[in-house]
Amino acid sequence: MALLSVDQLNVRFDTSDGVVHAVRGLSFEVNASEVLAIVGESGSGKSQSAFAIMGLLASNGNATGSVQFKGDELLNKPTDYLNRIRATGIAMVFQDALAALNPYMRIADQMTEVLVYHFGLSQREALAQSIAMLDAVRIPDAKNRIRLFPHEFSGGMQQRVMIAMALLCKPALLIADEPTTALDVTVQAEIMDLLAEVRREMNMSMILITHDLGVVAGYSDTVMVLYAGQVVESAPVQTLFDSPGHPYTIGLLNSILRLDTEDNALYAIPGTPPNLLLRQSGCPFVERCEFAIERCHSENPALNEYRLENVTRSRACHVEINS
Amino acid sequence: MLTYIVRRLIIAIPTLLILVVLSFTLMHAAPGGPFTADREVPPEILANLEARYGLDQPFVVQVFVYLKNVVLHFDFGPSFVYKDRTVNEIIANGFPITLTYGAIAFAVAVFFGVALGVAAATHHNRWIDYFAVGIAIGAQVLPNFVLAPILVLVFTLMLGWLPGGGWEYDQPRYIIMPVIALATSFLASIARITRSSMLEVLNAQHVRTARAKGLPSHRVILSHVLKPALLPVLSYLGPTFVTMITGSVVIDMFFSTGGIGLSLVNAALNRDYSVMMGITILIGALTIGFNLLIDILYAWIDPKIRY
Ligand SMILES: Nc1ncnc2c1ncn2[C@@H]1O[C@H](COP(=O)(O)OP(=O)(O)O)[C@@H](O)[C@H]1O
Ligand SMILES: [Mg+2]
Repeated sequence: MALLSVDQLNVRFDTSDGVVHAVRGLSFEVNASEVLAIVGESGSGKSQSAFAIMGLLASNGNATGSVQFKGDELLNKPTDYLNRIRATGIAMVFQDALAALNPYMRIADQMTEVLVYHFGLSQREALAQSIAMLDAVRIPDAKNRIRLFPHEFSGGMQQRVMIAMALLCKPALLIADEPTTALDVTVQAEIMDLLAEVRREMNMSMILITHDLGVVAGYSDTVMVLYAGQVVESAPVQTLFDSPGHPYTIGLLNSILRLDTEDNALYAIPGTPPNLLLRQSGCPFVERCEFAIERCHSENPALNEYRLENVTRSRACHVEINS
Repeated sequence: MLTYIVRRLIIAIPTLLILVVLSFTLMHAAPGGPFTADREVPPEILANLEARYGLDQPFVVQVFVYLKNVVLHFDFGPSFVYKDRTVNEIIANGFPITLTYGAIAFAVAVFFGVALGVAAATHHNRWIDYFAVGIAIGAQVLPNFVLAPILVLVFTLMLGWLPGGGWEYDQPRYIIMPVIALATSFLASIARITRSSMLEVLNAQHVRTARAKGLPSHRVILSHVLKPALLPVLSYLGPTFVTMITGSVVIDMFFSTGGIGLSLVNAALNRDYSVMMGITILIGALTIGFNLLIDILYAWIDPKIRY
């Protein structure tokens, strides 16, 4: 049985302008100690998928479908029920660590409350474990710096604190939502290496959310490409890089800055994603697709599983592509 | 922190001095004021004034004398209207009354206002929310000069439960109606500010983190929402407290409570400039003092404020 299995997840938001279809028909599985990367442009529904799994959608949002963690259904369950799984079963690292940490609380208090609540530790034990976890994510002088407030750390250190906080209860699954997007390029690699290291040591599963296909290469097993709230392609990471099967994936790969080629000009996919308020009939990528045929305008392609060179993968496209 | 407080105090002191000098200057310049010759002043009072201010002295000297009396002795001088009363006596008579019902009304407004705002925000778009918003709007469109007679009509004339006016320090039944009349609109404002501020903070990213940590809802509210949500309320409370413990003219008139609000109106009507000046300076000093207190509280609560 998969650790996490998501089936036909839909996320919709009621707004004054109408219904926003942020996620449509998302299905995937994460097995024990597996890393799944979810890749897509800003606004493609990555964060909302994660929030739906954790039961953290905004009050105007609602989710349908199924999310099962170790066989337990999580979707639309009451807060008390979810709280037994949050932090201890599934933990989350958020994109903007400074905003995600409470600016009015010392790091010590933000960390110890998790251990005190979930494991009933005493304040002293909780503090000792929190300091140990900050040491583990290599925050220097953790013993003293745990007394500081979030804004007194650098961006990279804030993200380390965020990671340490998420790891406190040794979750089986870590969802890292763009963990390096807010950081300097030099710090990004450090944080990714740290995540990979703690994941290996704790034998955790991970969902790595990013808008940068370049990040996933060394750090994930499977990649799922999201476009306008839908999965357009899903494949083992090496397969995806070697033979992308969807025009959008090809565009994403082309837009990664290749240091190994002469041509450093950054390629960008022309056009913008569709408005999620309008539910169109065709493929969501059709307006930006250089391969589009007539059928793409009228019929949204389903996600089809297929085998190629002994690898199981899936894609949602009407057109045969030989890449 | 300490240097911050000291620095703020050092700024507050000249502000106060300027306030005193300015009100004296205004009074001096006012047409028909006590220092102009076009007004008949009883000889006893004129003698009083002469002795106190040295009206034959140059203006600068007069200001200095007034300033010295206020600052060194908290002495606002004699009344311009009542022969045998000083401004200090008038304030000492009315201010404790206003302070009593004002402070109680303030406590009531803060407690119920915050509670109502929090309840509304945590039950957003449910009946508690609509109920709270309804009350807040109702209380806000009902000014206290309308509410006060309604209270008297119901509780005094119809039910006969409470006296329609007067003041006894040791008898709560004299305090109830002034407190309700004064507190209601402030309670509504506090509830409204609390609610909208709570709703904003509830959507903040750090609150989502707190939920992701699996903390129970009440813990999330208590330790992650309340503090940031109450900061805007706090900044409203400083000036509000001063307003509530000083000038409730309407309350003093309707309930004959004998507070300082009435003294101020009487002084204005009688052109008792020294009383007006005294009360103005008192209110000004309280305003400066409480704003200072709120700023210090802010700095204490918000770790991001640099002193
Ligand atoms: N509370 C909300 N109300 C309406 N629309 C929302 C809300 N939250 C997110 N959305 C929309 O959902 C879409 C997906 O958002 P998100 O999952 O955050 O994107 P990303 O892939 O960048 O993480 C976006 O178009 C966003 O505008
Ligand atoms: Mg996002």
